[in-house]
Formats: sequence, C-alpha cells, structure tokens
Amino acid sequence: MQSNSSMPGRREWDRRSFLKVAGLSAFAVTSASFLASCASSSPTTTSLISSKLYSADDARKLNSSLEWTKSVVADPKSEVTITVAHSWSPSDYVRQRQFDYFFQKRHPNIKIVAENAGDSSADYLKKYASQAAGGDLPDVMYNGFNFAQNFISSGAFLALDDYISAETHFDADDFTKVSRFYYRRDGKNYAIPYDCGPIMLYYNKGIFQKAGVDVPDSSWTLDDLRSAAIATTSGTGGSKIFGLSQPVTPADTFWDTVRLSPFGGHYLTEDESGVLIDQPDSISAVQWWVDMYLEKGVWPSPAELQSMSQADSFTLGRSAMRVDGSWGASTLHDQATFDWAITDWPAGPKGHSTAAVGSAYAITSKSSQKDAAWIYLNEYLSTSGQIFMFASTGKGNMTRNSAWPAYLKSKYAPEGAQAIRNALNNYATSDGVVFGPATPQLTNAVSPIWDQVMGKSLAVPDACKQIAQAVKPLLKKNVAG
Amino acid sequence: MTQTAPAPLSSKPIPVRRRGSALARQEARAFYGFASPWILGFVLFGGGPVVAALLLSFAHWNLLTPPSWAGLANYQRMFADPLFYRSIVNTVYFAAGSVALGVITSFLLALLLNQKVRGVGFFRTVFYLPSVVSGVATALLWVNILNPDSGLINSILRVVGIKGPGWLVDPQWAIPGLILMSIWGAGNTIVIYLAGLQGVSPTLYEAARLDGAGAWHRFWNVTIPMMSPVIFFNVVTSLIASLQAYTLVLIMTGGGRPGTAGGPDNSTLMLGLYIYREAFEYFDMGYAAALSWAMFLLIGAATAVQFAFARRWVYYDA
Repeated sequence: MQSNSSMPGRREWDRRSFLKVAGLSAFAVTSASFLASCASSSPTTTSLISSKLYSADDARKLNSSLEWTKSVVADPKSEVTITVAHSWSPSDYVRQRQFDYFFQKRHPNIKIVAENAGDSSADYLKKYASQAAGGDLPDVMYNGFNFAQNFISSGAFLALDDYISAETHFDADDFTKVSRFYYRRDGKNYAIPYDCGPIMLYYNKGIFQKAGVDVPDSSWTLDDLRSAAIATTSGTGGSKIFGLSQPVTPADTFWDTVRLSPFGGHYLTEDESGVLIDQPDSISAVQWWVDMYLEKGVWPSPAELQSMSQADSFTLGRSAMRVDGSWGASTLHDQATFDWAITDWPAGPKGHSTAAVGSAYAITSKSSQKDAAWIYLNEYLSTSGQIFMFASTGKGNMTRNSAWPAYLKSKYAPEGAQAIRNALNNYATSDGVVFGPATPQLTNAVSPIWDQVMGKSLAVPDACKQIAQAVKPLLKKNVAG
Repeated sequence: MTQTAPAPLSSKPIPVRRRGSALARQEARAFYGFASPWILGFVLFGGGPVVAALLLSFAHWNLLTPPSWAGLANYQRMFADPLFYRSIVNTVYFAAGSVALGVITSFLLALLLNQKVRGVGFFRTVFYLPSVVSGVATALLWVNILNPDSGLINSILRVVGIKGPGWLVDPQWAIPGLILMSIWGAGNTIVIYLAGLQGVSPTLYEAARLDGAGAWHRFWNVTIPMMSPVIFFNVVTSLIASLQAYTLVLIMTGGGRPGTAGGPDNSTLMLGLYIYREAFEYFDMGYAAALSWAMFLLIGAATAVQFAFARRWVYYDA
C-alpha cells in the first residue's frame, strides 16, 4: 500500500518539521497575545455611538441646544491626546462617549482616549491605585469622595486653583457648598465635583396606603418615621413587608450624620481621630434605632437579607421606606414596578442633618497635557456639561445649582425631586461622614461586633463600648493621613 | 512470503548520546526552546512577584507613595494580630474538613462509578459536570442551597422534622456550610481516582479471591494499598487548594455590603481573604505580603508533614 506521505501534491510531514511548525506557531500566537495585551484597549471616540437609552439624534439635538462657553485656555495648535478615566456602568458609558464625540468636534486638536473601569468604585480604586504604583495615571481621573484624599495627599493630583481663578465663566459659587468639601487640602482645590447627592427618604406609596398610614412629607420628624416603620411592617416569611429596607449599621459611612447626629450623638470626632460612640447621647441614639429592629423587625435580618439574595427589599416592593442617596433614583426609575416618591430626611429632636457625598474629576500632576485636560474638565463640568451628562439622563445629583432646573423639568425627576435640591442647599452636610484613610479598617472592625447586636446576643451599650475599643487604635491612620 | 530471522540484539548497537555531542546540544536547545514560554512566564509572572512579595514584606507600601523600609515590623504586627490567628484557625478548619470530606466522598463515588453497570458513562458525566461550572455560579447556587429559610438543605431537614441551622449567616455553621459546598467540585478528583482504580491489576483481585478474601478484605488489602499513591496525590493537591480558599468564600459570605466579607463575626475570614482585605481594601501591601509568606510557609509545612507521613501508608508498586 502506498503511503499518504508519498502522494503527489501533499507535503510530507515528519516529526521534526511538525515540531518546528508547531513551535513557530505557538511562539507567534504567544507573541501576538503578549503584544495585544500591551496595546491600548481604549480607542479614541471617532463616531457618534448610540444605544436604546441614548439615541444619536437626541444627543445631537441636545448638544446643539446647549451653550458651550470657551475656556480662556487656548486650544493646542497641534493635535494632542488626553486619557480620561471614568467609572460608568456600561449603559451610561455610551452617554460619556457621546459627550467625548461632540467635545472633539468643538476641539479638533484634542483627542480623547476614554477608559471605563465600570461602576464599582472599589474596582476603580484597585485599578488606578495599581496604575499609580506603576507611575501610569491618566491625564484626567474620576474620584470618589471616599478615596480622593488618598491620591491628593500622595501628590498625584494638580491643584486647580490657578485654572479656576483664570477662568472667567467658571463661577465656583455655582457649586453646592457641600460638594466641594471632599477634594480640598491645605486650602486648595484638587478636583472639581461632578456629582453630589444627599441621603433622602424614599417611600412606596402603595404600602403606605395599604397600611392606612399617611405618606411622609418634609414636616416629618424621626418619631414619625419610627411610627410609620412599625405600622407598615407586616407579615412573615417570603411575604413579609418591612418598614425600612436596609439594616442600620455602623459600617454605613453616613450613620453619624443621618442616624446619630439628629439625636445629638456622634460616631467619631470631626477630624476622625477620636471616638464618641460610647458617649451617652450616642448610645441612646443607637438604641433608639436598634429597638425598632429588636422589637418589631422593621428591617430584614441577615437571614432575611440572604433569602432575598442581598437585593434591596425596597426595589423588590417589599419595604415601605428606603434610606438612600438621591443617586438611587435613576435605578428605581428603571426597575421599580410600583409607585414611589422621595421626600426630605426627617429632623430629629436635636437637629436636622443628612449626609451628602459624590465624586469629582481631577487632573493628574504628571499629565503632560494639563491645558488640554483643563479645557476638557472645564467643559465637562460646566452647566451645559452637567445638563448633557446628568440632567437630561436622570442620573441626577448635579453639583452646579444652575443645572438643576433642567433636571427638575425632565421626565426622569421623581416625585419630590425638589426635596433633593432643598436638602443640598439647606441641611445636607459632610460633617460626620466617615471617609478618612482608616475607613475600610473601621468597617471591618465594627461589623463582627454589630453582627452580634443583629443576632440579639449583644446589648447596644456593650456593643458601643466594644466598637469604641476596636476603632480607637485604627484612627491613628487618619491622623497620619 | 519469506520470514527473516530477527537480528540479534547485539548486532545493532543503540547510539549513545554523549554530553557535548552535536545531537545532545541540539536536543538541549530544542528542549529549552519549547520550555522557554513556560520558563519565561514563570520567571516574569511567578518568580518576579514571589521575590517582590518577599521584599515588600519588609516595607510599608500603600501603592500611592513609594515603599518605605519597615524591617520586621510587618512580621511583628502579624504575630500580635488576633485576626491573623483567627484566619489561620478558620483556614485550617475549612481545609481539614473539606479535604477529609472531599477525599472520602470522591473516592467512594469513584468506586461506584468504576462498576460495570449500564449507563455508567452517563453517571460519570453527571458527577463531573459540576466541575465545569464557574466559581461565581457555584457560589451563588450554594448561597441559595444553604439559605436558612428557603434553601434546599433546610427544606429537606424540615420535612424530617429538623430545624436547619442558619448556615452562612450563623458564625457556628458558616464554615461547615462552606465545607459542604466544597464537595460540589469533586469531579476532577473522581476522574483521578477512576484512572487509578482502572490501573489496579485484576490479577491482584483474582489472587486475593483465590486466597478466600471477601469484598471488604479485597478493598482494604488490595484497593487501598494500590490506590494509596493516588489518594496521597489528591490529599496533597486538595489541601494546597483548600488552604488558598478565597473566591468562593468572598462571594458566599461577602454579601456585597461593606464589612461583610469574612462572614458573620469573621467566622469565614480565611487567610486568603485576609490577604485580599489588607492588600486591596486597606492598600497595606507590605503587611499583605508578609501574610502571603505566612500562607506560603503554612502550605509548605502542611505538605512537608504529609510527605513525612507518606512513607508509613503510601505504597509504591516497584
């Protein structure tokens, strides 16, 4: 029998040549993969992309209807590229790319390379802290209120005061005061806030109606909230309705401002270097909240949360009220299948305060295109920029007061949205918001203690004392900065 | 057809490759050429970080500012850190439980799947299938299975009149819950056992049968000794994997809310999770590197102990 290898027109493969070709192929594939991984994965936006949520036509119309004030900083004379890091959900990132497209049309010599790390703030921080270690930060960076100071104190960001003071139309006073607090150091501004929202009270109208309880309004006090939470809690098991959707916990960054301060209590000192949770006013404030849970189960227990796969019971339509940032309104707008509204956070017997937090954009100090980065930032965070990005999309929480009317008129503004602006300008504060460098350690240190309170095996006064003991040594990190 | 007599063995000498000969050099070049992707990968992406981690363990580094020399401070802190000991205890508890349960369960399943019965291929596929499910999907599935109210296990226990525990939300039951979950991915171990079982010579069983050995004696005196190298391999690799447990623990007892990774009352805070917490929540890379070396030494010590004891029970067929 004639072997295949001797048939005319067929290449003869011996073991050696097969191994050579296989080796070369493997080398080529490995090299290509390596080179591909080194290449930039963030191309410049060159066309107007669109999605079901953000149509190209609407974006074009809106862009041309807005007035884009020119910066006093001149555009570069030749083409430059700036890299901008964002933290958007994939669906909202489309809007960002639309903004970049129009920006490049207005500034043909500035090319934008956008990077999106997704909408997880923790993942974003991991990515860019690692890049900072490698000395490879983008020109413009998103920043959360809770980690901006880490970058600022390390010298990673440029102080923007010179650019701000030179810009004739910037109008720094247009920004809500609370939004600017988190990005200042030694009297200088290191980032421009782009969103800032207060903690508000959301309510499910149907549950209130069914329970025969009047819906909340701006005259409510925390005693009204307590009565309503108890009155609207009903049922058992999978059909249980909760008065409040989420547990009260010291792991909550806002629990001082929102839960304790209205009763005269506090978690930490103002500079986050000392503990106050073991003081009588603080203990009684914590007790006031926990009693609702221990006596009536007004919010889900750990087991009940697990049975809901950790989902928010308010969004599932199983809670009468939710205590959450105004930024949650857009998700509810998309997901809730029930009638809901927002109102002011109630006042307590010793004060009226809510926490307001958000995020900002900064220019990195090692950027080689600082002027181009400023031109981008100035336009992105102008009134028109905030209307394009937030007011017209319902993503809300504009930091410029001048952008709010557009949001309030939009179809995305929920019932009671005016209360958000009211809170921002009247009683929302950064006081008591825990955001020092030790915050993650505090969270992990207090959680095991709080688990015992939720498990009904530790009394509140003892828990407060244990929390104070656990937290005190960790606060050294805040002092060290 | 004529048949030629086979040539005497001595008539065709086997070529001896001397060191330094052209052929030997060529083969060595080929060897290193083919091995180079792995060697490069190991040196750059494995060896480099290992050395860097060792150096970092003697430094303070938060990624944003340059590392500063810390001497033995990270190790001193580690030995005084109650959470370090807590994480070691949790890790060893989980590893011992999951390895014992996994090795025994998968060996028994492999014995069943080695039987000559109809449809055995189907059963082998069914038992292997969970191994190809991704870690995150497995974690979410088991969170539901272990749900205290609506989970499958507690529902079954309720049917027989037993009130099931809180599993992942109960500090006492969180690690037993994770151990129970760990047998889900036993498919790979089963395949290795099956291969080993099929390599046991039938003549040994025949001889034992002729000597009057019953099923139990054949299992105890033939199967176990002949399978001991395979059991040993599975124990070593399973223990190493269990001591590094991280992903499933993070997802199953993390809950997605701040401060919940590590389960209720830190009851599932494994060493791997603690390293992650220090590195990527606190950005304390120096301390995380010191903890990583502690984990490495723990795994090394556990493996060395196993090898030391292996002489007493592992039988290698000469």
